[in-house]
Amino acid sequence: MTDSVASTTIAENADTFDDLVQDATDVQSSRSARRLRPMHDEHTGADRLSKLMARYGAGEEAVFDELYTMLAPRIYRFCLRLTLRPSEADDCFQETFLRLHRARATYMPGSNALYWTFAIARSVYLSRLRYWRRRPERLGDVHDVAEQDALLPTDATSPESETLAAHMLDIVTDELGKMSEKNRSAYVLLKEENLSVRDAAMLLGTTTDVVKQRAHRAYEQLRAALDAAGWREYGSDASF
Amino acid sequence: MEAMPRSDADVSRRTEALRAQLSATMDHASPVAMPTRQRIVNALIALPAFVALVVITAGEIVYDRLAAGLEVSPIGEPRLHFVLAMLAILTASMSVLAVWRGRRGFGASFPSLAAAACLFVPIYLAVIAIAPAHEYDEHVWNISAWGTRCFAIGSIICTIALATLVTALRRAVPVATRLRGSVLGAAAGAWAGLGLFMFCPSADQGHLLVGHGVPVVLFTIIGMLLAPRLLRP
Repeated sequence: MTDSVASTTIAENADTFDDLVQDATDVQSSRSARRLRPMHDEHTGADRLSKLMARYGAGEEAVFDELYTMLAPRIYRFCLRLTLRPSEADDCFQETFLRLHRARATYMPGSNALYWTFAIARSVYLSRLRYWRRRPERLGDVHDVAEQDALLPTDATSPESETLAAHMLDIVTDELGKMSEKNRSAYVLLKEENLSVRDAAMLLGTTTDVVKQRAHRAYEQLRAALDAAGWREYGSDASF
Repeated sequence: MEAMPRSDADVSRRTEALRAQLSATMDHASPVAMPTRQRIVNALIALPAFVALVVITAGEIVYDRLAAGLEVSPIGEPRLHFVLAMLAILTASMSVLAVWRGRRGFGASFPSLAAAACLFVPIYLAVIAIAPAHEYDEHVWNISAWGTRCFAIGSIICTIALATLVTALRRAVPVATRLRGSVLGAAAGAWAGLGLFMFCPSADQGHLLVGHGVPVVLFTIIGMLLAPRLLRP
């Protein structure tokens, strides 16, 4: 990828390096993910979810379908981001809902059900990570995801910019797979799930400073990888 | 080769397919029956009763007294009251912090838990070092030099307390489980410390360090190592 090609396309759509990385990761999350976010970000959506979870926790089985419909897309994408492989994401996702079902009486009414489920999903992922570490032969190559990625066309992008976005996405996905789980989780929660630093810290069981540091490290790692691949920040080197 | 689901439709298809599989698995899963809040309340009511039972039983068997550690000379009374109050405050604070669910259901903040886990043992050792003057004759009371008997009784109380606290929070802690486990262990140690203070009339530093201090340190570590598996949802 040359700088000149990049400069003709991406610069039209993104002003900063931050936007570029965000755009690339948003492509993976797809427009649909962005459409789903407002439902949960609004107080009404979060309240509705919390009430449903409280009813489910109280033993009302009938609300599970609605709860599943509201939670599943976000949780599946989160699992996908953590595991970086669809088959592993499937397992992580199912295990998350199974644990949610088993531990439903432990849900604290009034708290954010989505964040609680995110925390369970990460706990599931960490358990699986520990399992894999004890059995390293089961570890797969995370880079195969990047090799398989195929971007769906969107209304807002041209074929050329899609190709460039695909290239950038490959690098971002590849680099996310290389970074530590802690940095990746912090980055995903802050940049892709749009959680506040405070919420992310609570969910990761650490301090806000640590979360900021982890996300910054992840961000710098992505920046370095993109830089090495020929992408340079617009304005600093006039590249895109 | 796996294709990464990207669009809304891809994710929906995938989650719907998984929904069917999930239903079958969920039918065989046994959910936690009692709400966590109720379990916490039960635990906090049961714990003092458990500890009192152990202390009274052990006191009757060993010293033929209900609480030999509380029998002090008039000179030692202010110290006794001070140490007892400190231990009671320490035990109550540690227990509440360990089981507290916070405003968002994720428990106390990371700095609070970390501070509690790190500072509890030094504070506890400093408090028990202020030993009140007991009314006892070492030969009559037959106190072991290194507190092996206290170590055993302390370990029993710690085991009961840790099991009670962990049961109260079973499957209810999705984040920072290791840290929470160590605070639960320390809280269990605090109950043991309080019980041993009432049970044992010794003021010997070696005895206090080994018999009263080691179980607390040990169970803080045990809590950190064993509790997470039970605490995770």
